[in-house]
Amino acid sequence: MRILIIEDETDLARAVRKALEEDGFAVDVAHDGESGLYQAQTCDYDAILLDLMLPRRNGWTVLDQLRKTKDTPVLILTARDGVDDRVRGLDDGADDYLVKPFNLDELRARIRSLIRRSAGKASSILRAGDVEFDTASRTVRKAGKAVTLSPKEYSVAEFLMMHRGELVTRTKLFEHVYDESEDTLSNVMDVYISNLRRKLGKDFITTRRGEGYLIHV
Amino acid sequence: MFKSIRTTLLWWYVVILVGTVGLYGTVVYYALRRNVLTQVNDRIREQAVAIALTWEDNADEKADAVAFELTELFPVFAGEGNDRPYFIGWKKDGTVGLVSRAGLEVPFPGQVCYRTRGMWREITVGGSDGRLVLVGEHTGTVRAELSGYLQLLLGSGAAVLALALLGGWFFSGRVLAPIHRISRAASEISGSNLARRIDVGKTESELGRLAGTLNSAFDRLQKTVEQQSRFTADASHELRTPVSIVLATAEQTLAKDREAPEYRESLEAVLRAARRMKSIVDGLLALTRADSGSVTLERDNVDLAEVVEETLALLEPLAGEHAVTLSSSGPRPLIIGDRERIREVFTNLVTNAIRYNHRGGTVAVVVQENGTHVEAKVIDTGIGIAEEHVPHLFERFYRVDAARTRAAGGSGLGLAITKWIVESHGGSITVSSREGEGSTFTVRLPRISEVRPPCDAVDSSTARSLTGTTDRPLTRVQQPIQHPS
Repeated sequence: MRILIIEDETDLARAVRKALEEDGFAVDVAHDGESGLYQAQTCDYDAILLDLMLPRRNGWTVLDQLRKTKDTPVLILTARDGVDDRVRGLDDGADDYLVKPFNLDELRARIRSLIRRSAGKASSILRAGDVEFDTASRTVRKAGKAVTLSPKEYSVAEFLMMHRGELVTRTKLFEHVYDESEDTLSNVMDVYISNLRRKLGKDFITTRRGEGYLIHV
Repeated sequence: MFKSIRTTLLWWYVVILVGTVGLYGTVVYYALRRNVLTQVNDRIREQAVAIALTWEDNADEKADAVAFELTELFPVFAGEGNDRPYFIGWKKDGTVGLVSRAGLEVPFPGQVCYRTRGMWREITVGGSDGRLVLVGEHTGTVRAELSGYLQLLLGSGAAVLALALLGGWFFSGRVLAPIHRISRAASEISGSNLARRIDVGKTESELGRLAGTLNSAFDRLQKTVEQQSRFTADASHELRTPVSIVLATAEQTLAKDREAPEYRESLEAVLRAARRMKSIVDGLLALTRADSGSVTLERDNVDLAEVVEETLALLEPLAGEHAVTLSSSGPRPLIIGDRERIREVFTNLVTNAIRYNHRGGTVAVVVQENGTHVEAKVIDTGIGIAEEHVPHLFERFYRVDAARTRAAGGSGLGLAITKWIVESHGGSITVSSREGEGSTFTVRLPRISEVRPPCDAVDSSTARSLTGTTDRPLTRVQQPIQHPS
């Protein structure tokens, strides 16, 4: 899952980015409204954290512009705590609103919930056959037994689970699992996929040569 | 409600009215009564004297004949009825010698006098050779008439009183109604809705002025409360960001064991946030003290140029970081004030001028004497301030650009504090700016005196460079300053 943080407070953005990265998210940061909007428009993020008081372009107009082209889930993260601000934020197309200072665990839970809901999944437990994903604790069980996955393996599997029944291209998978700073070889994806097949069952992921990957419903 | 103004008013009204009407009635009644009784007295006296004279003149005649003649003369004594007047004459020896009608039983008065016997008013006059003549008149009619008057007086008095009370109650109600309206509105205003006002249009005269006064008091109160709550909201808003940095960094770092450099990095972020909170809290404290008026300013003789030079020297490292050149020029005027606070003014202004400057820019502090005032201009070649922000620049927590000040590390209170210091010294501060070209902050302070070293004329015209060492000799002349007492 790939997340964009648009926040001009570098120290805050840094702490949130680190926390989310440790949760296995791929995180990009933009420090002003202009570059934040550009990144949000050019890349497919699973969620965006948006501050309102931003240099060069404030959060309201970023949201406004973004909604003309994209439905990416947006969580407004701001020091503005007035009811008016919350209402305006949600009415303008934000999906959630969190007031600073916030609890990091709550922020994580809200991001997970945003991503889940945008994928049309209400529960934090995802099932495919005898494989069970708990997206809250980031654990996987097969036939009731815990399976250990590396963070990246988990991210790949989780993304495919979220888009179950959909053909996911390799490019798309790359985009959602790696942030812009990570440089990877394309065959690394084949390694993850084969590891996942080994750990979760041969038929868990279907490969369509030259097209992408798929978890059947 | 028994202690209300209306009841008190009415109570006094009743007391005064009862007193007035009662006194008036009593006076009228007694005057009337005296008048009527005097008439009776005069009448019977006249009759008695006439009877005595007639009796004397006809002393030789028989008593009956005299009596008959007298009743002819005064027909009032004739006729029927027990309440008609009568007369009796006594001889010297006390025997009755003359009587208007038979069967009268009148005690012998023995002397000349007026007397009241039951319903009868009697007068006795003396004639010659010891004779006494008494005339009596029944006062029933007169008394009935008087009591009729009395009733009329009492009745009309009561009616006047009742009418006046009713009118009084009504008018006091009318007069007090605006007060009720004002107090109702006032209690609603102080209760919750500070935006409400007393309707002055409906309230006339002195009460209208009262309502106006109250309204303007409420205006001030509302302004203060709004200012206060905005200030509190702004303050908590400003603190939210550093607090969230501390929280998020600490929570993220403590989630698992880490390497030393990671801890260091996190602590540095926390320290930066804490410093920011400190600067906000310090600023808040300073302004709160200033608001409550509990700050005492020192009154020293301050050499303005010296303060400027010291400030520039202290800020030299910061200027170096931003590649900004500092300079100062001008005469060395003296002002009275608090040296530390004036230093704070220039520290704030010059720090801003450095932070919002371009690399390679300059900041010049120019001191000028201008009549009764000293002007110090802080001129920068920085990014300038857009016109719409200029009027708000000295407001607390006002941000020209949300992110700009934050990135520069300001608390949002510096200029508000600066303005307060300058104004508490009896001065003023103004700003002129062109976006993209730079800003000039002008501080005007009242001048008390000046010190002119002999070489000043040459010296003040040369800009003093403060990069590196101060090349200008600090000529300070110690001389007693005449304080304006």
